[in-house]
Amino acid sequence: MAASALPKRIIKETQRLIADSPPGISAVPHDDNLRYFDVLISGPEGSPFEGGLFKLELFLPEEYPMSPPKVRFLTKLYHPNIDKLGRICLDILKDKWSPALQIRTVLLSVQALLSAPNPDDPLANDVAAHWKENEQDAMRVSKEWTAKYAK
Amino acid sequence: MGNSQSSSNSSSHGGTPSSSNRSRSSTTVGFSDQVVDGGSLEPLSFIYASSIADYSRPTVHKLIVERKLAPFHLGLNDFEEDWDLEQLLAALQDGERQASQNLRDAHQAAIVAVQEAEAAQLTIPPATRKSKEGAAAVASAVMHRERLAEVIKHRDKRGGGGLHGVSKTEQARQYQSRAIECPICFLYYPPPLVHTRCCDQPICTECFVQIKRAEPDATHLESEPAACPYCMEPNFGCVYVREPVRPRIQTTQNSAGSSGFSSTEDATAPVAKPKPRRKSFAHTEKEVVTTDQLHPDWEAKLEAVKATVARRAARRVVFRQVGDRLIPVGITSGRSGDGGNTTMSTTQLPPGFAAQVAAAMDASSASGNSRASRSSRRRNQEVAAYLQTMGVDVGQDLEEMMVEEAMRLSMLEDEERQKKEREEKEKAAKANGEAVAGSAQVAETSAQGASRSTLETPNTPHTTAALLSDAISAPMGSASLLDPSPNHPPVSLPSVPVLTPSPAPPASSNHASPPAESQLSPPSAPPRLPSLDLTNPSTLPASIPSRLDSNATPTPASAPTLQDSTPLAVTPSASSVTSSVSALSSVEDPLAGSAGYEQLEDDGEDDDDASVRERMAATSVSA
Repeated sequence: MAASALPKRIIKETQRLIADSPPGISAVPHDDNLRYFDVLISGPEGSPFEGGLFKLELFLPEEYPMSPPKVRFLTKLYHPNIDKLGRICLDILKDKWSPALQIRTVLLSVQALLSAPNPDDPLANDVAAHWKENEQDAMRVSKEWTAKYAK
Repeated sequence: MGNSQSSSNSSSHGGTPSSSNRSRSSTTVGFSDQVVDGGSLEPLSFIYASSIADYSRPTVHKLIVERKLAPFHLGLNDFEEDWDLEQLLAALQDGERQASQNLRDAHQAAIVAVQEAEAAQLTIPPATRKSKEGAAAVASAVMHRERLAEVIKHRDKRGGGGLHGVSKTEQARQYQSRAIECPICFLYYPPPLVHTRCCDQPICTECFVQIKRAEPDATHLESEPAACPYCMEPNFGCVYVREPVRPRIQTTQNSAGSSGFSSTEDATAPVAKPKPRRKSFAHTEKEVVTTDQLHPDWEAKLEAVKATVARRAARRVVFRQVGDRLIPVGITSGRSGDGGNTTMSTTQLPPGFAAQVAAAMDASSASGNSRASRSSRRRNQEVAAYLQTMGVDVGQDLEEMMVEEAMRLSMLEDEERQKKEREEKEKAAKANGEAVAGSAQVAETSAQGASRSTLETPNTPHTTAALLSDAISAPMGSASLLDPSPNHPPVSLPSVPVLTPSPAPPASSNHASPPAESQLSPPSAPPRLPSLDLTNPSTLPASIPSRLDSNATPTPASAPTLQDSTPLAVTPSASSVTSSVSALSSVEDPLAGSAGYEQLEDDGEDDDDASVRERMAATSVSA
């Protein structure tokens, strides 16, 4: 389909993101596809992901903002709500999406998910089980992975 | 092409595709140039031109006229409070230019969508339910395209997107120093916008009419009213409170503010000025416009999906136990409704059918890899995405259609063959020894008949398979099934009793017979058609970097293998049989099969059609 003009909303969101990015988050669109963003999120303080810098990709589909953006981790991480492929189990990326949410709020939510894993709604079952059985040990693995992959 | 053309015409004019379709697109309602409160009854910015008639236009017209919904205004890309009229006029012009472009882009996309729907329609054999749906898809795409063309034409005729009877200056003045940014589309509109009933936040009319229930799908058969985008309160609705009449319009001040609206700029009016935060409204209150009011077709859509799921769930492959094997003898059509009745609506499968389906599907996947797959996959995805917006699920139905078509063709061929055999036998009995060349072959066939499937019969030149492959996809017709693929070495298979309609019980006679030298390409890979990708929830456009694909394509879980749990003899190449296996294992008990028919439970909605196919494949391999 012929590339149609970028909606004003996406242009404005991008401008605002670049001008005033939330702490620990950066999102930069590709030159050849302004709907596709390279994202960096730094691991929140006090979480086992602290000190890590996590790469993600974010894509705004044609229906955005009536449909959620597609977001995925590219950096490996040990987290009960993020699977091997980097897919994220987060309600606002699915059925709880609202058009009032933005790239900024989505990425802040993803960052918050790093601080608050939810093993009761797992995407990576083995990790979730580990988290529930022995949270200390699971967090140790998360730290290890962060040191290993998210530098 | 001619076919799709005519059917699209008939359905758009004749009205076959349901009333919901009609009410949704509302093409019967003409354009209105009426101006209400300085705004329009039709969208002016075309932010969502790709879903231009996705709401009930008559309802929206009515609500705007009744002042229950704010009229549409042109959204400005930028705005500053200190802009003078000139700057506002320039901004208006910019907004109109943007709106025109949005329309053109959407129209261009709609033209492509029609072409793709028509191309997709060509790959569907005529006179099937699928082809009816395909025709409906074409009709719907055409309708959308025409609708956009109409809007553009109407706009051109009026010389742009201006408001009828409202001067540009007047229009610009509406924005001056007080335009409000819609938090959804980020464009600026003259107040008042509608406000959410729950949290009193503004939203422009163009965005509001886009918000609706999530589309139902086969995995989610419930539908909840849309929630407020801002506070997530269920039962989203908005309230339109008209602005107090502006003082300069009021000619006399002495008429006393009897009505609530005729209030004043007077500093002496202490109550009216700082608007107190209003109470929130219940969604049932009469001032509130809900998203369901604007999208009354949600229920029909939900019912349609439910019906599709019910029909699918009702369909079963019926097996007959013969010796220690299960032979598929039919598929319940399930169209009759609740699916409780299997015997009445069972379509009989001719012998060898499963093998043919498997072989043809194999061939189609092979040829699909070479050329057709890429473009058709994309096309199918788009069409599927479009159809999904209409509540039509295509993903799984294409295969269902293929199976039905294959059965039909195969049965025809089988009838033909039997008829011929009978004739030949009679002839042979009459003029013994004077057999013509053709009848010699047929005689040979009948001699071997009992232990052969049609595919293995040398003088049945794969016609069913060829027809089927033609039916599946036009370009694929060139893929020759006769070419033994090097990837699929022939496998010797044990003989299979042929379940012809003849009453002779085949089980005993075949039980001890040596394996026939049948050679048949096993479906060593799961038959994979481009169309299968329709089940992929992703509707990513092609411009997406491939990296995201994995995001959208969940890897299937591994499934139990067939060998352990069932009495079926299966070659290793059948390991591709996955989810249907658990169903097969339910007939482990040989006594269970003694009744003749064995109904298998579907093991899930998602892989319903896939499992039908896999059962076919499994049986063909075991055959």
